[in-house]
Amino acid sequence: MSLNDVVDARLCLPGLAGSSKKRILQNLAQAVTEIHPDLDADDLFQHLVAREKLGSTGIGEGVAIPHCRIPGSEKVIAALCTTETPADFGAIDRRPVDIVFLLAVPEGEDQAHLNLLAEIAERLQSEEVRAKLRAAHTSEQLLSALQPQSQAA
Amino acid sequence: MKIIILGAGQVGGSLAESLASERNDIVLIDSNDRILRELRDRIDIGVVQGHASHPDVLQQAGIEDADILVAVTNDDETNMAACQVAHSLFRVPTKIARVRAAAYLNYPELFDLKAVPIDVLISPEQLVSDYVSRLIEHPGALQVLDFADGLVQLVAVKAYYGGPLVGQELRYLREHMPRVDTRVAAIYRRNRPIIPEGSTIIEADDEVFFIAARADIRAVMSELRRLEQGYKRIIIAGGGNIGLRLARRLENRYSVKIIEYGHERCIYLAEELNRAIVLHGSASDQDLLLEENIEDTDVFLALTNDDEANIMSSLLAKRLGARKVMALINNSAYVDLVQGGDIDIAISPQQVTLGTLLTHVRQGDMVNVHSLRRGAAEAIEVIAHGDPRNSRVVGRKIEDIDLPEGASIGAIVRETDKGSSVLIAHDDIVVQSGDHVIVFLVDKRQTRYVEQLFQVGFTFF
Repeated sequence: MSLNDVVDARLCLPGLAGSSKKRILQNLAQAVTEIHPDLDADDLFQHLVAREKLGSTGIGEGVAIPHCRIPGSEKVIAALCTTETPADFGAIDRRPVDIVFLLAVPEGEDQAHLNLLAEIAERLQSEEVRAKLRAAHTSEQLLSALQPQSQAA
Repeated sequence: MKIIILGAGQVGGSLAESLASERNDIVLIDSNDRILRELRDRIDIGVVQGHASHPDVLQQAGIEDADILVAVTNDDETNMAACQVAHSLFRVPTKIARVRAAAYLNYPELFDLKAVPIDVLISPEQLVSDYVSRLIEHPGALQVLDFADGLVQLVAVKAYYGGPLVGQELRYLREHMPRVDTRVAAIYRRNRPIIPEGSTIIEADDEVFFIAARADIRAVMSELRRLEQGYKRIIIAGGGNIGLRLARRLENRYSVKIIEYGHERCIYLAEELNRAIVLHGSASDQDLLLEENIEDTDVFLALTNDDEANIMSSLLAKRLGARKVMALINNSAYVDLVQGGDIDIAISPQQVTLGTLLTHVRQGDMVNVHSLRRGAAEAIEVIAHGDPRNSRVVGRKIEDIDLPEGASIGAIVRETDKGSSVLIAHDDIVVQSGDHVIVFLVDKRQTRYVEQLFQVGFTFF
């Protein structure tokens, strides 16, 4: 399972509305459940909030990777967005966040999910990737900005 | 975090004050414009004037972005309605409300996400009666706080001449009581904190905070002061909700008399209580107190809803010979005034409520936050999560945990196959995921650092 397998262009959302952590997570959860109607938006939202309470997933440089396990779910779900307004995520460098990558995984297969998380974090660590993401205006641009350099058009 | 507080009364005001200093975005809503302006002049918060449960008022306060709603207006119905609005219209993740009326509290099924969506229900009367009954359980304690459902307690006592440990180094405690494990978390000498070490010598009049398993509290207290005899005879002044609750709880183990002024209320109390004796009259009636042998009373509890009456009747009871007097005092200015004088213990419902509120607005998996010494110090119970890769606590020895100056781990409660076990903190104990860690902070300003210390790293799922 690699990053490219889990990112869905329909869940690449440039300029997502919301100026707070709460609203961004809420809007993202809503968007996810429109594509995956078997999930409940409130449920996903609560799981994300519960994980954030234990420690912020804001990893610095304006990037946050909120993630959670969803009991009973069977698929790995990813969503990527940039936000209209940067929001306080309680990130380690205290910088407001404007790039958010959501990852919701089923229970079990811990190592595979950790690897996935590491891959996401690594990609978003690149200054160039972040600049491209921030400049993206369409889902396609957002998706392609995420690709490693060799594959990017 | 964005926190909206409804009601700028004593609890709402002090909560806002306590949180505003912790890098939070606080908005206070109240219908009284004057109180709001006063608070805003003093602390860095946003204010909105209006009816606290109305959606448009909440929206003005930015409810869509709020992580937490704390509804502590003086009106139960407003608090409940506000939580419903916050849930149904704005999906606020955490909703905390104060509800006083037993008429509601008697139906716990009412407070459910599918009914009245309140995540944390706070009943000050319940909290105060728990607080008082713990004090009665440990005669001589100034303060008794529960952790891990009462398995571990933090107790504050005043050291007296005659206590075996007084004048000795702390390390002597271990030699003297090899089978009892305890940890002295802090010592206050002339109101200044001392971080205890093995070589610290306890002096008479020191206020000592120690942590021990509940079963060992009595043994530790006997080291610090001549052990007081258990209480037997209790007089409660005021048969309101708190008085009735306590009388009910105490009547089977103690001889309880309850004095109530209202005749009809007396009849109700007599019906509700089995063994306690209900007396119709005034608690400040000297003849009544003498007739009821006040001089042989171990504890006199003044629990009416009138501060002045509570202060006067407990002073009178003390003068007439009651061994210990405790008074319920709402006005926090009075609490400071009377504490430590003739009144042995002043009980502030606001302080007790504040601790419970703080538990739920703090980052991390907090189980208990107790505000101590008028908010200057704190004792917290937090669950450690994660593994050595993503936690700065799990997998480490206590001595290797990077606690700030003035913070110390007092005990750990660990779930095992055989149930919960209490581990009093020693340098070589290694923290495991799921441990309840009890931390004492001499300076509340360190709380934020401790919160962060217990946060899991990014790779935690």
